Amino acid sequence: MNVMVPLEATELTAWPIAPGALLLAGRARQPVPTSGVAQLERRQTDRGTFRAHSWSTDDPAEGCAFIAAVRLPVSTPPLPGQSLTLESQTGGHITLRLPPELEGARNFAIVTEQLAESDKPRGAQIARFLLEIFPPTAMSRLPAIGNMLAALFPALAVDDGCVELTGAIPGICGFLQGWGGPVALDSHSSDGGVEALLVGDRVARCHLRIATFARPDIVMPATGMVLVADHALGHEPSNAGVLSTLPGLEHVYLLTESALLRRVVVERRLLNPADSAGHLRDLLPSLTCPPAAADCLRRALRPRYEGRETLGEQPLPVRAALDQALLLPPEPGAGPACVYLTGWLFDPTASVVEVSLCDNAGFRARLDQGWTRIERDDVTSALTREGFPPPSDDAHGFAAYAESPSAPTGALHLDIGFRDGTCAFLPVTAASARDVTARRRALEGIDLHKPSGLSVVERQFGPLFLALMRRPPNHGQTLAPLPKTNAPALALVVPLVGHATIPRSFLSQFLHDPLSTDETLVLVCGAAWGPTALASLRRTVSFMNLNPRIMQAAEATDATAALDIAAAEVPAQNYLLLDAGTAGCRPGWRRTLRAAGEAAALPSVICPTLVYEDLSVNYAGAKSITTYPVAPYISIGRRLAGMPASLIDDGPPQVTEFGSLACCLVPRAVLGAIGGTRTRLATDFGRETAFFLRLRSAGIPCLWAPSAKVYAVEPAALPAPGAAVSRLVDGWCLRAAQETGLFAPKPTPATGA
Amino acid sequence: MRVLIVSHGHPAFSIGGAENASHNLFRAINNTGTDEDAHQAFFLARATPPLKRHSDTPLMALRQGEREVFLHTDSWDSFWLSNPALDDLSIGFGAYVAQVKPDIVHFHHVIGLGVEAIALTRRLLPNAAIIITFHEYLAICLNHGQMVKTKRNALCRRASPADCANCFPQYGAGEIFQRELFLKNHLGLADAFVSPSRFLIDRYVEWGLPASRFQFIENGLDIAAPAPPRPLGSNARRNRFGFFGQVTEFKGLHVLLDAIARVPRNVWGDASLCIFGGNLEHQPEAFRARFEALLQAVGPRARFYGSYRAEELPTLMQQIDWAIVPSIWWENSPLIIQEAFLHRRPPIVSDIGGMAEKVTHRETGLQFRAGSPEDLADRLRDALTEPKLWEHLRSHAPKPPDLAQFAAEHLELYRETLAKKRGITSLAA
Repeated sequence: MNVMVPLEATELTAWPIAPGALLLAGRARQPVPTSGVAQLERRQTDRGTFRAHSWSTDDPAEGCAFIAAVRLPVSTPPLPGQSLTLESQTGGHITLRLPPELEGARNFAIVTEQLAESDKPRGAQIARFLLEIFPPTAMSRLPAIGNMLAALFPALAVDDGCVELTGAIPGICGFLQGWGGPVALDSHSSDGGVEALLVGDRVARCHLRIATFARPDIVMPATGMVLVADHALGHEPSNAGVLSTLPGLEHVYLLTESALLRRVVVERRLLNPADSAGHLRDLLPSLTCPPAAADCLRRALRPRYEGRETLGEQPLPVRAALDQALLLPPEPGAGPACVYLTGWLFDPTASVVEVSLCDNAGFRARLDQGWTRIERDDVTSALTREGFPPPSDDAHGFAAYAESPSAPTGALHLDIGFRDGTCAFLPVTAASARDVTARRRALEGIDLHKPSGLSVVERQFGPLFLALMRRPPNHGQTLAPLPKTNAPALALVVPLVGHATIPRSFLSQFLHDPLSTDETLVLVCGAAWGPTALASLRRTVSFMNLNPRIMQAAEATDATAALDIAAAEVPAQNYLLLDAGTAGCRPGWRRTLRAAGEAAALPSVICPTLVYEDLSVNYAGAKSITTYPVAPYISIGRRLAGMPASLIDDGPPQVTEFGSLACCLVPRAVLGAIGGTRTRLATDFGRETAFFLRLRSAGIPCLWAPSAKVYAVEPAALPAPGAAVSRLVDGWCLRAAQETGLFAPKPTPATGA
Repeated sequence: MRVLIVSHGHPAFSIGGAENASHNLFRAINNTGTDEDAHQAFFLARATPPLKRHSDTPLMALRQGEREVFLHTDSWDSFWLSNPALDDLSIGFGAYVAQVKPDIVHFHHVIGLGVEAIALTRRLLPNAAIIITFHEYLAICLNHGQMVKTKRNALCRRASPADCANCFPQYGAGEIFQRELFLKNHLGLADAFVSPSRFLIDRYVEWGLPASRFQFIENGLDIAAPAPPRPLGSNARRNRFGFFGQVTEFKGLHVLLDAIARVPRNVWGDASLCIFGGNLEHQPEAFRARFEALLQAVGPRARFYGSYRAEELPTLMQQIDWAIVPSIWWENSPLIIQEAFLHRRPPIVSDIGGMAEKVTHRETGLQFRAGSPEDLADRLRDALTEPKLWEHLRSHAPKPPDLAQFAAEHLELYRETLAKKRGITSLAA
């Protein structure tokens, strides 16, 4: 259909709401398509979209009335007199000519009011259309929209009762109480509530749930109502906040199935939070409401957390304690808030129905629906000795993980809900999940020998570490390229991040393989190096006639962090990351490695052959990376690992899948390209795997130089507590990261910096 | 030529073969050379608590002579053979080296001084030659350098990080390997190594030190007149046995005492064993108790005389016919064997290591299966029942080198090493 409709200018009004947005009201001979493509002056470059609502008028000769919302490219504002084509997806279209003047909101409201012709059901449909195309966010950005609706709605609405008082329970809900006719709930609403427009000193939207009660004090048939705005709905601006803060509230418009109802605010009484709760509690027995509203009210009337534990005060045989809580705040574009808790909950009579982590400002994260229960026979024996009923099993411990789009802002606590509707609280002190020590303590608390061990790895700790992995690093790693003449060719970076032990064997190798003039030694000491240990280290290196740069950084907790810290402080063309347990098998191996780097076509990471103390192979290239659906989740296939090193043929450097952070030459350009090496994984294996996967992802080659041979012995210390768990958690994270494409290899290698 | 000899102890304060050997060399070098070509030797030894050091310097003279000085040390890392007191090393050892300006620095030990002393020497005297004499296997073996396993004192035939970690499970194989690298890096700074036994050379070469740097030089003795044979009455036998040395478990006295108890009475007759040895008071309680019990069990067959001074040895040798060296560790070149040859007292030795190298069975002495009291008992029976054996063995006793020969061989080594070193340096220049 191609209709050219000449319209009289007085009956088509166009209101440019904002750049690229136009609101139209007018008449047409036939109904306007409901949605489709809008095009200005038939120019391909000036295409947008539209939505429209049409209705028949009382006088069929006048055709249909319509209102339409049009979005056009911001770069081309519509001009008076231009033609505007609205075309539906089925091909039908209509062409309008914009009026000589583009009017404002008031005029639009007037024209729309006229077009509605005082038909209240029609008015409801018009109101619904407008509320659909203008979500609350648009209204808060453009006050003119609210003003337009406030001007228009009186004409579209049916007067229906009044609002007598408002109140709010912070973080839970706000409410309006009054009376009116029976409200046919909005079938468009999934929870049986109604959309509302609040008009006061400003205009705001909210979604209200309805609870009714009898008002025999009112002569005309009227129903008392409590209109509840649930904070949990998360509207923007805050649903409940609107009700409690909107100054000068005068009218409330409720959009029901068949009508737009207007309630006048008469002598509004504003209840404070304490009185609000008491008022609702008193009213609650007489209220009738659908389940969503009832749930909201129940939550509103639950006891509030007052900063102390109340579990011990309630009569049910339930006890609980927390071992540890870790919290990771949300980051836009990086992930939601994440929380991890461990503890125990003893509930032999199955009285508990819900456990959530909350604060008093509305944060709530349900914990019990996905948590792992852990055997705690120590809790059983302790509490049964105290006279508690014997439980059916020992699964009192729990490990819980939850995500939430928003971060908690108030005092954290566990909210334990019971079957009888009561609840109790347990204070929670959460450490930051970014804190390495806190994470290590949490890992040490997982017992892999228990049946629940792997479940905690896969369902709680793994997701937490994965979330951490996805967060941007704390450091900024902008490494500018260096002019060749200004910096050493090679900085040997030695992380001393564990116990404060002088690396005698490592340092003694320089007696026979001294540093050349274009090499510099950097020792990066972690938090364990106190003043005495550092002084001893300085004495030792001075005695050996070495002049290293000694850095101390508490955040140097692993080799990757140490490399980042050193690279940021010490300019060099290349960095050779060296574990303190390494030593060249023969002098000159560094030259071999550097030569391999210089001969490579692209900036590459180069690793030598690594040999254990028993002369077996530690590293001689890696041939594969394999993921598994079950523990250990990921493994790296190292060539000839554990076999006699004499099996290795000396040959030219060759490309390999994977290297080793025990000894690894990294050009500065590579560090700059991947933005640093640091990750938040728990183990050296995890960090090493992530590093080389990131290199693959960035298209940076890894080379193995067979003829450069280095001893690399493993530390003598027994595995730290939690080491096995940490390995599994890292493996799970890396597999998940691989599967979600975080380390997807790129087909085209990166060009040199 | 100026030679600085470095030892872990001084014979005036410490009993031991290495102390004696090193000090003998010091004295011998000072006694060689003509007035125009006199060599000068200096001696630096360690001093330890309870001796108190001077407050301002770790060096001490202790009234031992113009060319003898002591470095006081009281901190020692026995795992790394390292001296944590690097400042004292620099101030004390470094100062003395700078003062003496030796052409040769000859280490007989690093105990207490630390291998760092070698590195310091190399740095302060780049043109001097560094020589190291090995008296035992301290760099190879954590068990007091004996290469004897900690379990049941079994002999250790080959060192590896894994084997050593079995003996010392508190250290991992990796850590033991790092010790090996650390020590090799320091020992590798030396220009030459000396050993008084070929057995020890083989062990160190197998461990990884270059064979080309090793030189065999037998320990020399301060040779006085050999002790005359013990006078015998008519029908008397050569039945006096002697033990000379430190009373430690590794010296095998328990094997010897057990052995003499096994010799039948009709064979033993009026034979006797004289034990001359010191350091019993420093041994573990369990060993001391065992030693006392064994001594008591053999009754009049054995007498324990306690420690002796080196100068007493010729007199003590007059009282015995045979010298027994029943060590259960490999030994290197026990001085007592050379002294036994000097005084023509046939040695009866364990059949291992340096002992087996020095003594040819039934030619220059007797050998018995190491650690076996039964086998030693059989050798004692041979000694007591074969009248011509003693004469035969003592007539074939080799002549041990005297101190002059000892010094001459070392001076030759020093000259060659310096020439090689300075020749290469000249070429490089």
